[in-house]
Amino acid sequence: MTKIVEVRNLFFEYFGSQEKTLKEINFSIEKGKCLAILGGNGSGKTTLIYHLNGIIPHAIKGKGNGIVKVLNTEVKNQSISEISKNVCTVLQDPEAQIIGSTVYTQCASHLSNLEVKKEEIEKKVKQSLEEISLSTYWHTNPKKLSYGQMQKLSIATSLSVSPQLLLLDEPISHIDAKSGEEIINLLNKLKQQKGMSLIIATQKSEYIKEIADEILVLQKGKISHYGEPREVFYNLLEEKVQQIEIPRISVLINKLNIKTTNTSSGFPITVEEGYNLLSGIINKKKFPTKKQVKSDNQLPILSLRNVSFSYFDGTKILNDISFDVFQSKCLGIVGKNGAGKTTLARVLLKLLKPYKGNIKYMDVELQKYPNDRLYNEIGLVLQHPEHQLLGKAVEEEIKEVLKNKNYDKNEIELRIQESLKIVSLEEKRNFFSGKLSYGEKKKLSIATVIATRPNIIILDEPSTGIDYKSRIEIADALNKLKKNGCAIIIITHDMEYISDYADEIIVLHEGVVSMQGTPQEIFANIDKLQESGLRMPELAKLGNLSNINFPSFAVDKVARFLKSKMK
Amino acid sequence: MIEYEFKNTFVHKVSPIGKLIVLFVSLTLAFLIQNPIKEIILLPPWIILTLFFWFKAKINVKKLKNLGIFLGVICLVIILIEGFLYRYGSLTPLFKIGNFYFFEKNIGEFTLEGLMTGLGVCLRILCVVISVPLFVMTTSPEELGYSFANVGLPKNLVIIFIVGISFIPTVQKSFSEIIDAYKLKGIYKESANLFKKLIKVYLTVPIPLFLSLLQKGVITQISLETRAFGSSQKITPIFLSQISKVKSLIFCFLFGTIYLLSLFLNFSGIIGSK
Repeated sequence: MTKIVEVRNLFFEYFGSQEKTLKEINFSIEKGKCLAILGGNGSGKTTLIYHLNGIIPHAIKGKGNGIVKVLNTEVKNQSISEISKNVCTVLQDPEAQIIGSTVYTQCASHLSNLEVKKEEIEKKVKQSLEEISLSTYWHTNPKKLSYGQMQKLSIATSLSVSPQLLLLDEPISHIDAKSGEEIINLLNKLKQQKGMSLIIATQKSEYIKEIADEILVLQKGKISHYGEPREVFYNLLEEKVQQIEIPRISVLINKLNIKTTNTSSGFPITVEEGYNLLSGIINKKKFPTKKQVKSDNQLPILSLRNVSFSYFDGTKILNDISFDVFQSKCLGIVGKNGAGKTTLARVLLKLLKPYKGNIKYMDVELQKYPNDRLYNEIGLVLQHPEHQLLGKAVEEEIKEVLKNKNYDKNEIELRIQESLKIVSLEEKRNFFSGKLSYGEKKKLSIATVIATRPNIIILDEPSTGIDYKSRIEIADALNKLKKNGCAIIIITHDMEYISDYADEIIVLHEGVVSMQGTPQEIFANIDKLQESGLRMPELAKLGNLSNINFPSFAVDKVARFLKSKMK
Repeated sequence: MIEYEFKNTFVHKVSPIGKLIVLFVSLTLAFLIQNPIKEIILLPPWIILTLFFWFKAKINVKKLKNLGIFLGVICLVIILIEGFLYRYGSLTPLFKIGNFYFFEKNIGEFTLEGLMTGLGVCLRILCVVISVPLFVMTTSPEELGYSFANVGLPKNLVIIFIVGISFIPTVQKSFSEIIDAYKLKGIYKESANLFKKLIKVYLTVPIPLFLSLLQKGVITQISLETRAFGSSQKITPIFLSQISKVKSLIFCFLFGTIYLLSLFLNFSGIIGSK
């Protein structure tokens, strides 16, 4: 078969960098195949993508050697625009890629730069928008689309030039599960029906196994694993690699010590495969679901009753929201992009005022609670950590918060140590915050919040854009806080993350609470979850398939539970 | 609030440069006519013509409700201030709310001359402000950019202009998130005085705002590069509306006539001379 990409002995180092970002990279991809590049933050995924679309060496310079061939021509011998006729790129942040004032002008931008005739542009844009079901939005302002639709529009812009190779850098990390699923289905269609070759760089294995023919794992700029998905996940588990997310079902089978075969061929990577393997060896018994949250007659620390919020133009964002938050519990607020999750967080902090309803914090009306005290006692960790940091040294970032809250010098020092310890950033105390990795910045923004020892911490999309290792570390930090009595509210569309940690889940759909209960209760209702645009976590799917109520959906706990039920 | 909306109307088909010229001309008109009587006689035809084209452009007035309220309040304040405080020449009192003398002027007395001066100022403000939506809400940044490219502006500048406009909502969103983060950190206090707030905003917000925009800017730049931005010095103009020369001429002719007539009457001394 024709090789569409061929990379041989590629090394690369950015100017000013102290070590090589890519080392000894060798791989190739055949026409019509999909290669997934898995790796943590800073592993070199994006740098590799930039080598394939010509950004490196044409727009970003550095020291490098090796051969990068796309469609049998060396990238360094073609200009970026020449390459772009056959190779298109979709980047992580859908918003930053949009400059058009309507869906049509955005989608036409690539063809317009290539000086294609106007009539031809219209025809091609129409075709590609129809392909991704966005043709009815022709005249819509793209910034008013949901994140998922924006990302689809970026794909449509690429499709309009009919490329042979589509490069996607974290295409689904900012968008909700349903939109992510739609994009993966679309990419699968392009691969199968049009023979388009795909290279997807990502941190999430969740979707990759559904589309990738091969997986390449990058660790510290080097290929650590390369092969078929089953073989790669098998080897990652065998070698206990912690930086890379592995399908939960595979981890579960590994923890249960179920020997498939000596090779990776029988190793399960989908829920169905895992179920088939497990069904013969466990006693099926239905256990009642546990109601964990309100069992101990605890009084809520924060309580919302019939809260509604709308913007000045009358757009209703939240409608009749009621729920309670308890100490030492984790509440997950889930919903697709635009469901009202972030608005709800702002309402809880008095940054937005609801037009109806009642919010009580520590049994006092929230509106009457003094702001200075409230912001000491309820902390918000924003989705984008750079908005929360001042661009100073790590310890200074925390000190600045504490100084503004009038703590004395000794107390400040004590709290800096304490909060850096919780998020495991003690060693980076003197680092400039701008030099930290994305995951470390997120941990630092958590540290700035926990330094005031709040009663409640609200985290807006804590798992977005960070690698598996950082996600685990953040979750560990939150668990420590929870044990100390802090209530945690996690706002997310990442169902795997929330299934691991939440004691109670609220599903927001178009500003209304569509479901509320323990994870077991929520995940028992597949139809309603799908209606709300959410995806069932893998282990919840396994529970439903095997008709077993797991006491928790964290892999370790499910493994312990199943071990006790094994024949 | 004031943002481009695609509609298939007469005004949307007028050349973007024509609409831009009308916007600048309305600015000059407001500056050149400086006498209350002239303002009251000469500016309303311009305002009425602009509002007529608002109607033709099907401008969503509901979206401008808040701007309308704000303008109404400003105009009322100006008329009241001028009505009570105007002190030049012979004054004709219209009504009185009391006798309060301030530098020999009874500021409790509302005068006809003050009312006319206030009305004149309001008409000048109105003349400029209502021209903005007529341009912004009917012209996409791309259309304006491509029109500039057609008259010889380099492609790079056109793209920079379009990207700059598309970045405005991102800047607003990031700015408001940073201010929220600062409020929660206790750095930006609502209760602090305006001066302290301004110092905090100007001294500290630019750093995270700049870093965050830089990050977005890099993604935008890479996205542009991979979409053949640097292919050549030409681009295919992708206008949303079919620009009509006839409609552009009618539009410019009507505004041009009123403009020249107003200037003639303003400078010839036919009206407003003492």
